[in-house]
Parts: sequence; C-alpha cells; structure tokens
Amino acid sequence: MSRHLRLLRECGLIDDERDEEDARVRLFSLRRKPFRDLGQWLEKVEGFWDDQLASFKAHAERRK
Amino acid sequence: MSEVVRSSVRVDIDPDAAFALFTDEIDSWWKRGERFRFDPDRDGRLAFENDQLIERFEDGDTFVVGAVLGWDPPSHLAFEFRAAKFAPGETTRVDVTFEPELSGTRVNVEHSGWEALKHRHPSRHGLKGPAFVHLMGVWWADLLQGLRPG
Repeated sequence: MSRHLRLLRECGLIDDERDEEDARVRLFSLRRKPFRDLGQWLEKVEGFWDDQLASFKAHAERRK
Repeated sequence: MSEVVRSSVRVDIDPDAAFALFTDEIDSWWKRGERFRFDPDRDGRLAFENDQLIERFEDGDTFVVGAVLGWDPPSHLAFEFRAAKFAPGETTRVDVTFEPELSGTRVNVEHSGWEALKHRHPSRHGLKGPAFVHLMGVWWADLLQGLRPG
C-alpha cells in the first residue's frame, strides 16, 4: 500500500500532508489536474479516430 | 490495466467492399494535415505495402507506421501504429473489425497497447497535434504499467 501511495505521489496524482500533532497520521488527497489531462488525452485520441471514421464513411458514400 | 480507445461508424456498403475501401484506398480517406498524418510538415501517400502501413513522401522518404498484424478480409484488420515521436521499437496496436448489419457494415476501431511504451511526462509546450496526443498516451501508459501489482 505504501509503495503504491509513494508511486502515486511521485507521479503527481496525489498530495500528502502530515498531521502536525501526530506524526503517524498522513492525509492523502487526489490532485485534479492529471486526471483532467487524462480525460483530455482520451478525448483527443477518440476524436482522432472519430474524425478518421467519419472521413471513411464520406469516402464510402462517394464511391457507392 | 490498459487503456483502449474505441470508435465506430456505420457505412452503407457490405463488409467486403468496406474492407477493400479501408485498405486499398486508405490514402483517399485518411485525413490530411499535421493532426492526422505522420510528418507535421508534409503529407505523403499512405498505403498498405508488403505487410506494412507506410507513408511515402515525394522526395522518396518513407515513414513506416507499422507492420500488418492481421489481415482477415472481410472481418478483421490489425496493424501497428507508431507516431513520429515514438522511440525506435515502440508501437501501439490498432484493430479494425467489420461487422455485417442488416444493410451495411459497422466498422469498429480499437487502439490499444499504450502500456507497452515508456517515456517521461511530456511538456505540452511546443508540442501540438499528434505529438502531444501520443506523448501523453505514452506517459499515461508508463504510469499505468507502474501501478500493476508486482
């Protein structure tokens, strides 16, 4: 678990804070930006193929 | 864990004709310009040749998009897909299936294999079009690979 959390932190996906009064406590929170970036990437690649297939459809209709 | 990008479209021709148009006439329908072709500065001629998908340019240069991995007309086609910014040997996979419908064919694309690529997070600065899209994919693939139990 700690290995995964460390990896997530190193990748910039989560932040962690230590409790000033209790050193055993760490609070983890998700960072929004990288998840927004992932959504934007998926939309771009999907958009790439949506545009390509729309062009293929138009080509097929021209050739009918 | 693996990201797969999917897209599909319906065309009013049968699977035999759809497979033939998709492959034989790929240069006619594959969109042009830096967002879609493999050299940001020029468009070449795309073709399936000798079990590869290749873009040939006027000066004789070529860019090998990837090897054909499956050729099963009229139902299935698979090929490797490399963008210009990929490192040598790095590739992703595109599977295209042609499903008969009552009148016509559904063409489905699945773009997968991002997790096989390893790179650092790209900067958006100075990158646009496919370069940014693909480098983001590479970065996410690396991350997802790292999150696998092991």
